Amino acid sequence: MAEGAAQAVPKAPTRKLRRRSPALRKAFPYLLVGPAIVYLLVITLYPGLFAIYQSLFVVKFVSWTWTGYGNYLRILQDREFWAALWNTMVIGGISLTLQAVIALTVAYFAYRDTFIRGWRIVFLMPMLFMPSAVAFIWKLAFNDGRVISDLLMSLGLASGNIDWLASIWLARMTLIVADVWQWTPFLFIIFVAALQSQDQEVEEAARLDGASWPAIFWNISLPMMRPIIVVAVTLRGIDITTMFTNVYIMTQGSPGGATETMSYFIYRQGFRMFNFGYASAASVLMLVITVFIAQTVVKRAFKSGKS
Amino acid sequence: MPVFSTGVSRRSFLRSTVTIGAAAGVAALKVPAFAKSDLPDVQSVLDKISVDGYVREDYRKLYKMSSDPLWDPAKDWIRTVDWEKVRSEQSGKTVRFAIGAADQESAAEGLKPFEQLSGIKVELVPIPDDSFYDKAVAEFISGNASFDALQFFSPWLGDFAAPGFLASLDDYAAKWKLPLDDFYDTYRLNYGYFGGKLVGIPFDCDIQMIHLRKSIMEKILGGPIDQSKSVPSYDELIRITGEANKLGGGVAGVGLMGARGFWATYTWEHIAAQAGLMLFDDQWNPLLTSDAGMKGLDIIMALQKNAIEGVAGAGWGENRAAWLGGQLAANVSWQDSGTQAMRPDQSKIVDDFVTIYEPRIQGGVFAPPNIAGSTSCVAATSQNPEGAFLMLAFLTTSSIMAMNEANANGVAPGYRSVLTNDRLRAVSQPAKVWSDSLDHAWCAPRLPGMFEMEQALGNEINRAITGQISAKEALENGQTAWKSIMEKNGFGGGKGPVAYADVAPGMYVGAGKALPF
Repeated sequence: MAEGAAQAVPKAPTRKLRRRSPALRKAFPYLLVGPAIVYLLVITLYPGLFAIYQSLFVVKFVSWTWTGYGNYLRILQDREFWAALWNTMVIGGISLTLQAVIALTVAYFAYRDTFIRGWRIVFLMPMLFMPSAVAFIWKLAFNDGRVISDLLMSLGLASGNIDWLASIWLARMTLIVADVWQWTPFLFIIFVAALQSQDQEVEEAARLDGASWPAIFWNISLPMMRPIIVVAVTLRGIDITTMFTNVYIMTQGSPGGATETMSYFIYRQGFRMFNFGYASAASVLMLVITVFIAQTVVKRAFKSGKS
Repeated sequence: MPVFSTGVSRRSFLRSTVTIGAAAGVAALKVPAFAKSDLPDVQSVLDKISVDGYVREDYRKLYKMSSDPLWDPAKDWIRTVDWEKVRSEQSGKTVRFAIGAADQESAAEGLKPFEQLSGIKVELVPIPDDSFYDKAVAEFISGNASFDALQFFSPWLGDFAAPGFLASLDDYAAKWKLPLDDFYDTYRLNYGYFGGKLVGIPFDCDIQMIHLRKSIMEKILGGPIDQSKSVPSYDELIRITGEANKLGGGVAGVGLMGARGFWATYTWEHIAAQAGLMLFDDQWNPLLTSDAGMKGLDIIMALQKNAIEGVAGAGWGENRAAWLGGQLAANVSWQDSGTQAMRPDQSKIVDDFVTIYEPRIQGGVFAPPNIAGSTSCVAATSQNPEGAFLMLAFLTTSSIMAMNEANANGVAPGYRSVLTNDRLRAVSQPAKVWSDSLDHAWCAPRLPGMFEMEQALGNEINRAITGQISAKEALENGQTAWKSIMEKNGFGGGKGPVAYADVAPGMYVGAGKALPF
């Protein structure tokens, strides 16, 4: 019996457990993330450094001529650069403001709705379309197909076809409309998620104290959402700064450069006029401006919900 | 000692593999002859390159086309070159051809006869269409392009040829008797030569023209349209497009390409050429602000008042859609707007339009504008430049180009023997006026930086069209930009990377010639 019981006890594993050396243990996490870091460096840092290096040359295909900060000086005196920067700020600023306001408003009305709770994904549909397809649709609607003009005429709001590309502000508006249509859902879905994740007891307590829904939203929900709003708007803002597809397809910068954004300006300089060094310098400046604005916004506006 | 249980010894195994290797090596040296022996009969392949085989069936029925050629077989390179000689030299070799990804399948199909005729294997290097030129530039810059040959927008010729990206084709053209003399001078000189060397074979040979809608303009003009007399001047064109614009009904007076960049420049060059514009003096000083330049822009400013909405953003695509969709009473555009408008599957205005001779400007010249188009080139780094040349010669041969025109696919022939062919003219409405015009054609020189200059000027013209600056300011700004770009590209003190005398003959081939009508 005793012998049989002894046989039932599992044998201790014979494999010898080896302990890693302290150096290897220390290096192990770095080795795990190493490939990813190398990959990121290759696809982000290298092109960035290359752009900075190239920006110091006048580059014409294989011919590289050292110019130092000459490209930067030329850019700062380039009317088209400043116009593109201004256009980016105007179009991006209006578009971002509209998107934030619309998304927040809709989120306020919608976040308690059970249908929306279950079908949030439906509101992401515009975002799921290819940006180029969306741009073509809006181009048809505004310009080539005259759809918007026809609608306005049938409603008695216009007496004839509207030349959207003949007016600076109408042309800018077409880009804003297209951007707002496609990307408002991005902010909406984040805002709804933020509202739905807030502690219900806080709202209930306020309701018991007699607060109305608008008052609760304005005085409680909104301040608690602030960090999320800042992050979401900053991300969208960075994205808008690089607006390219809509400009490329819908306006090509017309009329007279009034809708040319920074990204389109850089593209045009690089791949339509072959000024690669100049385009690189503009890219570097754009990066600096974007980082500066994003950092300022985040630093000033980002406060935790508790604070 | 046996290696395997099959009883093969190491020694016998080595002996066998050495023998097989040696046999394979000898066979590899003989591949051209080996490949050649599999090739079909030349004449049977050539017989299939015919109207029946290449032109769309619906078009053949529509125009009751016979099997008779739309070209002159005596000038059709593929029917005059010695294919046996080609096979003896090139069979078994490979050519890599850069092609837009969307065209990959059709190109592969179109190049099969070439592979059968020559024994050359064509490998297509697909490049995404939306970035074709960007990628081509990047490949050139790399110094080791993945292709031997490519076709590209001809205004880029100077940019690609000046840094030495393109191979010289003179020797191959002479050796294989390319019928260069059958090309109209304007195409041969401007799409083919750079710095006195042949670097390209003209491919898509365009010209800008004026098209009118008969149903609208005949009412305004009070009778049938005479192609040379009804609209003798741009003043008259401005008048009748203004009248047409008042008619409404979803039809605007005129369409033109006024978008930023080269589109607006091309429209300006088109019209200013009739006023006698020369872009440079013989010291390479830009002459944009000359009287002719100003006159051209003044006419654009007048025409755009009668133009369709969106003209400030209209490039070729937008303009073509508006014209073929029946939204324009007149159109300042390319000749293919006249060919495609004939085709019921592409157009709503079949039988309701006519292409006219270029209207004149008082004190000016008759200078129909040869603008844009594309050319075929061999990369300087090509591993098989001669094979690449032969492939391009096949693709640009007059029979295939004639059938492209019959198919109204937008690829236009530049051969005299094609455009003067009566059977071709029956299926290409603009061909007669187009052909007559080419002997008087005006063309912007393909200089290094020319495309950049045309972009810069077009941006300024677009600002003028949209009322942001005056016409004079636009041309002055453009002139300043051109000087700056030219200096950057080595044009200074009357000298440049191209001798003026080399380029001058192609700028206006109509000097001193009598009008064709």
